[in-house]
Amino acid sequence: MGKPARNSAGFPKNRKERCRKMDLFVQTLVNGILIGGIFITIAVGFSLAFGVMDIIDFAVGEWVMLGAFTAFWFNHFLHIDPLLLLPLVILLFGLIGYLFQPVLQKVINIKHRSAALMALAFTFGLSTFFRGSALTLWGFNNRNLVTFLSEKSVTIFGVTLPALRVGATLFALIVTVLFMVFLYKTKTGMAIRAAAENRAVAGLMGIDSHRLARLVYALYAGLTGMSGIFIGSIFSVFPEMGVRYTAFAFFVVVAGGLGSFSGAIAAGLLLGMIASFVTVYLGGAYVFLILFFVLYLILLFFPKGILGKGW
Amino acid sequence: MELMMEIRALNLSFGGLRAVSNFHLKVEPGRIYGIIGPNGAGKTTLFNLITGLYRPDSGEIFFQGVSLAGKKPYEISRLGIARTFQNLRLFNDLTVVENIQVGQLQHQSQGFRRGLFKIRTNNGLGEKINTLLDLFGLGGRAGEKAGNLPYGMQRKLEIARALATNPKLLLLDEPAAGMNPREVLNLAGLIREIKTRFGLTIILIEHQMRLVEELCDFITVMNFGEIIAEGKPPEVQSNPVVIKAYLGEEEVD
Amino acid sequence: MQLKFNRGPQLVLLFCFFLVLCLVPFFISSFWLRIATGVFMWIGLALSWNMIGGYMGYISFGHGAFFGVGAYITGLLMSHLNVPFFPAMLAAGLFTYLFAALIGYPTLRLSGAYFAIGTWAFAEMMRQLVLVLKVTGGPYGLRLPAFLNETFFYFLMLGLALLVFLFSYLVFEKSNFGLKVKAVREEETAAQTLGLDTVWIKIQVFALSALFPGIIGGAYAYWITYIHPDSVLGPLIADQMVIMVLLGGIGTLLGPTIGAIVLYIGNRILWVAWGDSSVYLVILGVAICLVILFLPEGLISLGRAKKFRPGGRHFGRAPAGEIARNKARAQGGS
Repeated sequence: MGKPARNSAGFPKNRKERCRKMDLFVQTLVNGILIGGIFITIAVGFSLAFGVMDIIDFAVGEWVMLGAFTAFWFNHFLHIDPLLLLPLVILLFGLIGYLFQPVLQKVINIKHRSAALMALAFTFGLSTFFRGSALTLWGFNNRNLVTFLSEKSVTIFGVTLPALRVGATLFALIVTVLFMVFLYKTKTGMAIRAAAENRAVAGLMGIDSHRLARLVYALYAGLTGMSGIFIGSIFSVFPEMGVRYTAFAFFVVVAGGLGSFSGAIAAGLLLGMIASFVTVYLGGAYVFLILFFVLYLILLFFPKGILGKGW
Repeated sequence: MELMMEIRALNLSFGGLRAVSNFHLKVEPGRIYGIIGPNGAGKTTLFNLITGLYRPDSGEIFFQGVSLAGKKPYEISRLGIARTFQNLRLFNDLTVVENIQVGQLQHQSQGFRRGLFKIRTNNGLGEKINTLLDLFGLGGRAGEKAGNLPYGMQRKLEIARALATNPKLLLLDEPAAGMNPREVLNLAGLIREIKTRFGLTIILIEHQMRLVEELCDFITVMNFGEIIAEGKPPEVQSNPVVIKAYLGEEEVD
Repeated sequence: MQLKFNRGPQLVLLFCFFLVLCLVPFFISSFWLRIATGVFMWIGLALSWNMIGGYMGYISFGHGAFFGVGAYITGLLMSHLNVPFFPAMLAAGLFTYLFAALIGYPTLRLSGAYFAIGTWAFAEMMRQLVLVLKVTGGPYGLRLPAFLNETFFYFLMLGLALLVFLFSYLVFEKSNFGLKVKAVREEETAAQTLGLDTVWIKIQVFALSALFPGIIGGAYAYWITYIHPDSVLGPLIADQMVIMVLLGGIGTLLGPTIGAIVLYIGNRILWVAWGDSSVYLVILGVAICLVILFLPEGLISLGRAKKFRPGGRHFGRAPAGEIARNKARAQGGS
């Protein structure tokens, strides 16, 4: 996790200790919400891709990483603000996803006694390939993705809101709402939901599941690549950043229940909270320990997610 | 006569849907019972309840006077109840013989060390396997993978595998599904033969009226989880409720 | 894969092969000796993963944890309590065995992708735990008493690899237990209704597949003398176990062995050529994807197709039974 933004604001020294503690708490809470918002964007696409294609994509974090790097290099050579690159990255990654999906479909359709393992291992191989390539091409260095919002912040009631995080959360919110409208109000969207719920039934209803799967994967890749821009500019860009977002995506999706929209939102916020509070009160080293512990507990005790429902 | 099995006031619902509602049945040894009804009537759910795959919300099942409440599927199997599945559940990557062998394994030593290192042998148990292979006409394909068998043979292999557990009560879930009339006739003969040969009591779920009429001593008709009729085959066949619910469905098919 | 130990000529051949393996360390340089030692270690690990992933069909992405825990237990016992190596290593194995049984009980209720994620989360949790604990040295790692006898470690790893190989052969290929395990893999529900205590079988296999990585982890720690959470508990350990098995041929005895040999030697060649570089990851990734796409039964299916199955197997085409079943479904409608 990156450092919480509380340092940049500074706390008034003449206040009472209790007040300071309260401030820290509120600040941490707000940070949690703001981080959580971004995870929701990843989780929504990821969870949908799972529903429709029945695949757990181990490369999800690598799509985030590649999205961040795409923005970084565009910014580096053409000096375009990363935030202006959002539409471009969505389209680019959407296209890549659309073109790549048939390969994945081929893997899913392999007749094999360990067919499930094949698909898992394939995306796993993909993530290894992406990470290795990024490391080979760009080295181990951390890079910063600077946007026009990066240095700005707003302070309300002593709580500092970094403009970039607010912007990212708002954007994530808008994308999620748009996505929801698409899923619930359009014909294609409803077909996608039907397919996510029950592939066999969707097939009987005459839904072309292959075309849908391609569309969903394209959407997923686009959204995930795009969130890389926000994540890269809020934290930093480096080839090995992907693993943690894969972990986060798993967390959100498992905690939210695979294929659950509201669950993904709740879990995204929960994740943001855990990350934020653990960093502040226990230290950054404990974030993953606690995260994986909670994830493991949720898997064991709420295998259908904390809200316990599907689409 | 001591009952083979007794089911009392059995209930199970999924969410709001009552899958099995107030089901009851008295099973006398040495007979064949039929359970019929349209798709989704709760027949397979009933088998899943008997074999311990599902837990009932309420009600009781007694097998030879022993309550099955809280018993795990493998414990129930070891008491002497075996079943087949409507959607075949063979060990596809294992050979025909191995499939049957798995059915016999419950009778072997359960001790960890002995079980772990005990080398597989066919002595003693091989005889039963050969009997089953011959009986079901699988002898020629014993070494083949179960997944590569033609469909009809896979159905028979499921029955053979269930018999390898030496059951007293055999539950057959649509054994004739996907068979042509000639095969159905053949199957009826086979079921009768295994019944006498192994001293079985049988409960049969079936869609094909022909097989049920042919074999069963007693029929229970289910619809929407409830019993809508029960009795001897002629009684049930002439029951107007059954004709409406069951034959109505047939027309739709 | 059937190995017939009861045939005379093969037995002689096997004995000669073993003899060669025993003489090898006296004729090769210490560089190659280390590589050979590593090969045996990975054969042991790949075969261990194959127990749960191959024979039982449960995909664990967390088996690196047992290797790492074994390494740390051995390390802690030796460096803090001055326990001699062999008791420490065996204690590590015993611990991972019991630990896995404990962890397995709740985790094995999950299946498919959930199980994969669960084990993965568990393994990452262990790494983070070791990173924050004081006793393990946290991010500074742990140093063991040094014992710099390469020949000793060659024979140790050779012995362990042989042990896992024989164990796999006897327990999973030849015994009734192995048949039960395969039944669980093929159809868990059916196995239950045939009277198999599947929960117990699953826990047993999970624990067994953790026992050997625990022991091997201990041996590795003593060999390498310095362990760090990222080196013995990093995801790459579990990843390589999985990939070796896939590469060679999952659920067989020779497959994981071949996979381990090929991948580890490939790894070392790259290491010589490029140093400890990320190129390995690129090639590893591509290799996984290509094997899955074009050789889903692993390298072993190449040899098998030529020798035993003229014409090879037709992957991607449904077997006859499947077709018939689909037809029947379409007709029967039920």
